[in-house]
Amino acid sequence: MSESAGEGKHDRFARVMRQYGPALSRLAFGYERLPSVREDLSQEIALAVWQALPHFRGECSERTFVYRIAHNRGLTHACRRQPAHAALDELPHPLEPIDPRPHPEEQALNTHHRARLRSAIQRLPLSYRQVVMLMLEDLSHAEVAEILGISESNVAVRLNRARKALKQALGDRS
Amino acid sequence: MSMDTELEAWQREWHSQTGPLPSLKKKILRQNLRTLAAVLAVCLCLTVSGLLAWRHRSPFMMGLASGMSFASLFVGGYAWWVRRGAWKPTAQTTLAYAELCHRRAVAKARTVRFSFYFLLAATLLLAILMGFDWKGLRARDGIILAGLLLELVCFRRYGQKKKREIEETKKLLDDLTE
Repeated sequence: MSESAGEGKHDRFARVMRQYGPALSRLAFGYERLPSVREDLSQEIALAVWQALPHFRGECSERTFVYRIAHNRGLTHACRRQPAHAALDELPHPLEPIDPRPHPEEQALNTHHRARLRSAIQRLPLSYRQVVMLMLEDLSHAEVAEILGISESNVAVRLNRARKALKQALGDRS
Repeated sequence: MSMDTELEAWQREWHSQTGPLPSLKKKILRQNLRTLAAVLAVCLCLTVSGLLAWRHRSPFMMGLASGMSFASLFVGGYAWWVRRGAWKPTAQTTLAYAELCHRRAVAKARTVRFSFYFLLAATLLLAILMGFDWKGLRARDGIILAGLLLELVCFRRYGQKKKREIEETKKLLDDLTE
């Protein structure tokens, strides 16, 4: 590979990280709640994007491609997670309202509402969590469907159920 | 609060909780070091066993060195064979990737199980051979046998971990395809 091509790859990655880096960090919140492990996951996601970028052939939008890579990495993390963390997925049906007191570490980092929203999203089943996170990133139903490999109607159904579950978990905040 | 206003409010809260951007260089360095350490460990084991066999020229050491080289090639070959079809997802979607994760977990578990039984057979064979000449046993033989037994325990525990990974990937796959 020529030097200019190498620089191109670096520039491209730097641009992608500038553009989507914050979104990728937020995405890591959805797959891991422990700050130290989450930082590691963020790095793994960035690494996966770095490795995958040269294979991007423009079959979909760059945003779709980056989010897909990131979610796939998050999925691998969810598979390898120890049972102690896996409890996040075992959501009782219907959702029980979460403890309104935020974790002390979270208290230092986030406001009460942000921490509660994050916590509620982390407690959603994976299929709902992925849809919610992508919708919060302002992706269309079609883009979410393309990333996850499900139909648009399925996206709508999952989103509807996820919103109900989130509302229930967050309680009346108005 | 209407549904759209509610979503917008969640989006605002979600976007305001962005963590620091990851430092990729450290991660790449750690990953490279891990890979390098693993390759070096295997090379070191094979080189040391080869050198000892060449120095002592005893049938036992020659057998041990050949066995280690053969085992590395045999288990490596099996791992490669069992993972065919688990390199790339069938489609560029998260669902296809989840299926791939499951196939990989199954393949890894198979490799670990195969390695465990291979090692068990080698340990039993060695123990039998030592039993024939139990009067001439030395501390070195005991250390080698203890090392093999320890490795068996490690493989057993690793196999259980892989079994949990299969269950986890299956659960995630079911969750995504519901």
